Amino acid sequence: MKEFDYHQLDDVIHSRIRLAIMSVLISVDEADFIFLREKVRTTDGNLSTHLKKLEDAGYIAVNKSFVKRKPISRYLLTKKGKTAFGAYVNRLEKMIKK
Amino acid sequence: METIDPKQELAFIKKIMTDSRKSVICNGKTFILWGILVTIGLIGSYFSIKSNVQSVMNWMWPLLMGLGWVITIITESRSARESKTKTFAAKILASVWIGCGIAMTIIGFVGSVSGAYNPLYINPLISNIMAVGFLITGILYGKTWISLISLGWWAGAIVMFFWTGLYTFLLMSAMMIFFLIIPGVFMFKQYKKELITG
Repeated sequence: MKEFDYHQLDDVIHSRIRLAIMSVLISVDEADFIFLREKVRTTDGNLSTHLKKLEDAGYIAVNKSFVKRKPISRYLLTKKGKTAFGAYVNRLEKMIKK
Repeated sequence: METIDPKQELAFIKKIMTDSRKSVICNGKTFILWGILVTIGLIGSYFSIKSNVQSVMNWMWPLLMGLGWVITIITESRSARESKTKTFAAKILASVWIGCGIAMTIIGFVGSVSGAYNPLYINPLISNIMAVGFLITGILYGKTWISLISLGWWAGAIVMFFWTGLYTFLLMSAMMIFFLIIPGVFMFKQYKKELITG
């Protein structure tokens, strides 16, 4: 099994939950909080914390709206987020090829 | 130095992406609605022609189609607002069926009113468009059985082009039930199942 220094990877994405969030959002254009929670399989609090970190890094954006008077937050990858995710995956692939 | 396995990381990303893409993009409700409305219209047309009261068709089809479009616009815009995700595949699927719906409405009304063709050719023409719609839906949905339904629509179109007649209204009704309503029910069940299992 090849192993490598994790410091070579983007720190913002390199966390199991944040990587899962980015992977979900690269697959769908937009996803709401509940969908993300179901796919990432974590608690509301934990998910919120990681979403905030990704948002602060400019990797994701949030659209807030109301459906049947309930607030809905939809998350989507920004251009910066897509680029960072692509670079992260490329880095992993290069590491495997070495 | 902390180390990780890149292969495991990539496998994890792939698994999450595959799982997210599995989300059902079509709930089948629109198929059921249009299948019922058009079947009513076709059977109504068959009996109105047989009974020589063809004037019924002058109001029946505009009423059914108008009702279909109004309900579709309301329910689909509501579904889009309430949907957990917005995917590119869902956008394409919606565009395909809006395009098919407009084309079928034009074929059904404008084509026959203008006298461009015999109204008996409306059914096979519409059947062809349904085939294209199902072929694309199956590919986007990732279900071969949905794509295969298009073969039924195309076969029906060939039969109706070669052997025109009043019976085509009944044949088209049966096709609406077996190739639109029943698949719609299966899709709706799949959608419900996904809502429960997440």
